[in-house]
Amino acid sequence: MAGKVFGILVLAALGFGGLNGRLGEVAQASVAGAGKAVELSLSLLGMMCLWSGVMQVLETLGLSRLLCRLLAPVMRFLFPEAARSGKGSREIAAAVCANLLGVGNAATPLAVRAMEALSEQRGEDGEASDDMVTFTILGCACPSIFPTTLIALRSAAGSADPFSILIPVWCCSALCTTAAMVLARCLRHLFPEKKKRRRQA
Amino acid sequence: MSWLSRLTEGMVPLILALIGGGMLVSKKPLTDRFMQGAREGMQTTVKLLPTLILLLVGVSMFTASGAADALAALVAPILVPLGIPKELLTFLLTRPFSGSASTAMAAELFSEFGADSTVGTALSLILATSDTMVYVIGVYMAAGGVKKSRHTVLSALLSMLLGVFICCAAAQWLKG
Repeated sequence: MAGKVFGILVLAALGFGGLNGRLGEVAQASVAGAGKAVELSLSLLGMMCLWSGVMQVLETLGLSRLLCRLLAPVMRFLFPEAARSGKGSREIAAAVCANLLGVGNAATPLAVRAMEALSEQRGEDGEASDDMVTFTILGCACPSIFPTTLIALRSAAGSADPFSILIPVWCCSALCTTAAMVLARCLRHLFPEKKKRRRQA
Repeated sequence: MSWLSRLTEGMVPLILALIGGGMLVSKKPLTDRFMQGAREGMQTTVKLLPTLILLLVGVSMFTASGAADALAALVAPILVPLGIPKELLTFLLTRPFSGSASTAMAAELFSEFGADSTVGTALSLILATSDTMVYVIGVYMAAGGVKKSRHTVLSALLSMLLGVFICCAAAQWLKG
C-alpha cells in the first residue's frame, strides 16, 4: 500500500521535477524527507507511549467501557463488525473522542491503536475490512468541535473575529463527514471484500 | 467563545491529572498498566517507522518538484468555473500530501487575501474539513497490517473534492 503511494509520488516528482528544472531540489528533498520521518517518529514515539499508557489506565478504571456504552448506537451503525465482535469498539470510541475534543496529540496514537485492534478483521491477502476503511475515511474527514490550528492561523493573520468561523465549521464539518461516510458505504460495493465474495459464490 | 478554547486547552492536563490521581489513590496496579501500554506503544511506533520513511520521502520529493503548481494549472480550467477560487488550487493539491507544506501555504494565503475575505473563509472551512490524506491512510493501513486498501483512496479523494465544493459554496454564501 505504502509502496504503491511511494511509486506514484516519486515518478511524479521525477517527471515534474525534470520539467520544472528542480531535480536538484527533489534530490535534496529525498534526504530531508528521510530526516523528517525520523523526527516525526521520535515525537510519535513519545505520544504513542503516553497515550497508549493512558488508554490502558482508562481501560483498567473501566472508563473506556463506559464511553463505549455511551456511544454504542453510533458505533453499531458505523462500525457493525467491531460492535458485533467487541474488538476495537473501545479504541474507536476513544480515538473519535480525542479527535472531536481537539486533543490532536492523542488522536493519532489512539487511531493507530484502534486500527491495530481492528486488524483481526483483515481479510486474506491483507485486505482492509469495511470497518477499517470507514474508520480511515473518518480520520481523513476529521470532524472537529474545536479546530485549534485553524483558529490560531486566523488570529495570526489578523482576522477581525477568528472564532466567527466556528458555526460555519460545525455545519460544513457535519455535512462533509456525513457525505464521506455515505460515499464510503456506497463505494464498498465496487470493491467487495474477498471473503464475502467467496461466501456468495 | 473563548471558554471553548480554554476547555480544549485544559483537556490534556485534565485527563493526565485524572490518570495521575488514579495512580495516587487507586488500589489497582495502574502504574504497571500504564507501563505495559507504553511498551506496546513503543513497539507499534517502531513497526511504523519504515512506512513513515517511504511516505515522507515520497511526499517531500513530490512537493519539492513543483508538481502541485503544474497540476493546479492543469485542473484550473475545470475547477474554477465550478466555483473553486483559483488562488486555492495549489494549496488544494498539496493538502492531501503534506500537512506542513499545506499549512505554510495556508498561512501565506491568509496574509495575502485576509482571513475574512471569501477566499480566506473558504480556506478556513477547507482547513477544518480536510487532512493529510496520504499520511492518514498510509499510517492507519500500516498499523492495521493492510496491504489492499480497497475503496479507501477513491472514497477519500471524492469526499475531499465534494467537501471542497461544499466549503467554497458556503464561503460564497457567507461572504458573497
